[in-house]
Amino acid sequence: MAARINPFHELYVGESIGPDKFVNLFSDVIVEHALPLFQPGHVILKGLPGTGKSMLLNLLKPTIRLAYSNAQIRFPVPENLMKFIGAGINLKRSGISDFGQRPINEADQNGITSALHFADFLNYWVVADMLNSIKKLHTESPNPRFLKDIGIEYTVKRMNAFSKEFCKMDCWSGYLSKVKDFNQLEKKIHHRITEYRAFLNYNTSELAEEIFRTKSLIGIPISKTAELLKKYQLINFDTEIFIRIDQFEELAWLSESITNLGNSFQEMIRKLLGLRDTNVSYRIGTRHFAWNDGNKNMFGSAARLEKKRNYNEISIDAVLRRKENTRTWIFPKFAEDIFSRRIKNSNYKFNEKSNSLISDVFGSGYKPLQIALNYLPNQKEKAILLEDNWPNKWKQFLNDLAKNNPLSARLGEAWARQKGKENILINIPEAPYPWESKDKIWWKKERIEQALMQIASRNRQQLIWYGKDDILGLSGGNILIFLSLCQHIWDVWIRDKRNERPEDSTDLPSLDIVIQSAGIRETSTDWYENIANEKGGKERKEFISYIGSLFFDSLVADKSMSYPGHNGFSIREEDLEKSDIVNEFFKDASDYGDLYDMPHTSKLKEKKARKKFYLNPILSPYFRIPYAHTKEPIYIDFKKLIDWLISSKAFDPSDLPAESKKNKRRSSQGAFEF
Amino acid sequence: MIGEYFRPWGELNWILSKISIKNWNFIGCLSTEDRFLAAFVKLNKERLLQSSLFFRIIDPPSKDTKMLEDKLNINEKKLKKELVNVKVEEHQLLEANIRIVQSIQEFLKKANGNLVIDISTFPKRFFFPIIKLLIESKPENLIITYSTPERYSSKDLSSNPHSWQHLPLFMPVDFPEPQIDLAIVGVGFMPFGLPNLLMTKYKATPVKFLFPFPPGPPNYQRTWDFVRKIEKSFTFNHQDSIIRIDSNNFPDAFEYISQETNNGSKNAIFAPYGPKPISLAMCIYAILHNSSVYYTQPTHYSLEYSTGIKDTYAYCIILNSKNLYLHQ
Repeated sequence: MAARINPFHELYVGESIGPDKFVNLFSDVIVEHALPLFQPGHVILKGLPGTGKSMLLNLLKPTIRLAYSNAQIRFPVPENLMKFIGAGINLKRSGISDFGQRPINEADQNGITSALHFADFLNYWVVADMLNSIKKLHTESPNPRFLKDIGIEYTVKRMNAFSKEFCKMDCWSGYLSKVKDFNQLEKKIHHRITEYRAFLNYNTSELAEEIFRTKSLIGIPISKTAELLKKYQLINFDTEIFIRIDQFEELAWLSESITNLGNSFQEMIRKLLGLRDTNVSYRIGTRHFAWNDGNKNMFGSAARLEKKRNYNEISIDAVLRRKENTRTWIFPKFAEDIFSRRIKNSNYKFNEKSNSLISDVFGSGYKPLQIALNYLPNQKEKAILLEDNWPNKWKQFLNDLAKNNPLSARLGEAWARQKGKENILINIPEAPYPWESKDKIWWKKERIEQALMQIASRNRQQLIWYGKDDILGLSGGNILIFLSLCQHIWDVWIRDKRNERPEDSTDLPSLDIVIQSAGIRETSTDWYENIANEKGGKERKEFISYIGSLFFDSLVADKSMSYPGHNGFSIREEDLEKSDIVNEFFKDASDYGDLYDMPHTSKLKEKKARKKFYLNPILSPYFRIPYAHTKEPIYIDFKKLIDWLISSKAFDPSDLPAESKKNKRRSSQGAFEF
Repeated sequence: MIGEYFRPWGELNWILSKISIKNWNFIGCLSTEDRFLAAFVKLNKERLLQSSLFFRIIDPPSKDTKMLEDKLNINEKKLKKELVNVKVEEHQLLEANIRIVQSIQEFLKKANGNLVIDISTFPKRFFFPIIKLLIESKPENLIITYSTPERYSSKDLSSNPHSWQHLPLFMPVDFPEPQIDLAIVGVGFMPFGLPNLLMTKYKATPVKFLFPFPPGPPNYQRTWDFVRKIEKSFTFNHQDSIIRIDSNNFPDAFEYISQETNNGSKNAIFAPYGPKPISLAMCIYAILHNSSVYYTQPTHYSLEYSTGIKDTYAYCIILNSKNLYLHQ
């Protein structure tokens, strides 16, 4: 008898799982959309937490490369791009952000010395990791072919010859001059890093004078090391060296404790990209906000970094988020692949020939009418609300229709309430009813979700979330949310079965609507609660809570279903930019993934650029609103936005700007009063 | 009884009655909580203070800034009513480590080696490095005081945390970093980014959760919620991993950590959530064994964090120049 296990208990496929597990769980679907990572040239890899940045950057690590080879699984990178060595630094883990917390010397009033030593520390760390990567790949190589593919031709003799010239390089300013061989070289580099960390930790009273004298310039030792490795044929001339610099966003937060410190360090990293170094290519992993900042200055230079010329950008969210044209949306394929890898690595028996294990487990979802019937276990007529002044014949018609098709009746009720369609009250239609007719297919489609939520609300029922489409839709292109949904739903199922003895055969379960809805609601509540677990999250949670409830009220109160798109709002970009504090707040909300923003092509005559904002889809179950974006969102102006920010208690009125006079004009079409 | 030392702790008045020193140098934290004054008042009433320094710590700007300052002003008046010439220094919650260090160095220059620090209302970002600096100054006597409140707010005690980071002066130093054998976590009310720390950095490391016991309602629910939140992303065995520790018994918590790490032969890292005396045990241990300490520093503390004063405890760390927690 085997205990039921949750194949999704492990949420992350980043740095947390061991290399052996990684090779089985990593999905290569995303690789072809991130190919610049494996090509020469600098790359900025942007993404929300949990979207897969670390997972992709992991492919550059020697441990992962070795694990693929050991497991005899093809390395998931195109063959012509496999010839590379990866090394790097995680800015958070290395402790590099402590530079500036203790000034290097008393003269360092403006942090310049700290920035220079920050660069020196980074150089030594990365060079140590480059050498370690080559050594590791060589010593742990499972076969000669492996090394040939990467282009490593390591011998102790070559390494020692390399070390001799390496130590004499000008970039070290004599720090390594007494080193005799590779062993000593490694120790000396490690010693310098330890010295720095001991100083920053106040374990030593001062930094060794030798370190002051021998500061290295950002990037130079890294480039020279790469050049020399090729010269001594330790690596082939066509072997690329990719340097990972992960968690760039950590630097953005340093300025909170020391003004401009983080900016200086960021400028130092940008300088690396500005070096136009062909010996190495940098890969910077960052959250959006840290790189979107307008400042593209490089340390000690008036020159600015330019996208395309100095670097390329990959945004994982942009790759995975739902597109207008769903045929180009790769997330379903990505999720399917990850899902099936999880199942294959568990002890569940599954159908090898299945096209979609997600569908096998979660089903393809219910038809809208089935959902409506679920909300109405007894009196189907409770789907509709009738007005006293409506003609009896119309009331009777709707009541009769509700008994057979409550969803259609609810749509009919809305039809009758819409401007210009009142005629229907007198001219009772026959099937096909106007709201069901072919030329009104979009009218109906755009209102189905709102109709269902209204029926649920009128009958005090929880919304039903069920099936593959709902799970993918609620994931919003974020693989962490997808895995989290699977984890919660599976947990609910295991809890539900706790009193049943597991069968010997562990067939893949088919999870019913109750289990799925409960798991999805749990995930949503968790996600909502976790908003406050991030920096600035307290205020964002208050705002989200306010607009989530407001959207619910708006959608439920809209009996004529004239505004089915009121689960989002649209605002002129120039309005957002009126206040830095407001603009920052919404940038943060998007960068932390609490709100999803996108350009909005307005249907107004006025053609000023607008942005629309929606809740992260996973928050929809918590607020009992549909996640799909349909029709026009709520149009608001600056005044209304300020009003929301104050009413939500996210801001104190005194912290927000008063509305400027030129902004007094009310927003027009679609404006909805609350 | 551990080693050759008895490690006295108990009610502050009782401890004071056993020690003949009459000229203590006191460090405290001016806060919105009632308990910030408790230890100070007791020492001052007995005329046992030679000097005192209070940190007035300001959170980063938020909509509560004005109210925070108003409350601090009121409490500063209360403090000065007790002792007119008490020194109050303003500090920013996220200020550079050097500011904390300089303040303590200045304080120590004038101090006589008999030190008391009241950690009741100090954020961990401050009291961890301060205690490290005090111990490293090799004082003659060092006592740490802690007052429990009547009650904690039922709302979130803190919010807007940074992602996990080591506490000032508690970063890993050696490179390459040695393998970590054990992660020890204090169970509090809100884990913030702790699951992420465990998942991304210490996935393969055994974890022990020091669970304050008995927590008593309504804290019972909140501490279990903490455990449940971690459990969602991090697998552990309750029976082996959850260790119940008396919330106020700092020496016991220290002893547990020492035993679990075989007195330093196992490399441990700490995440000090939960009651301060348990955090204090982690702090003292980490100082003595150069361990790293990680935390998700909140940038906003509730203005109603706690109310009232229940008990005031004192823990003797160094007496007559002997560090009672240094295993011989």
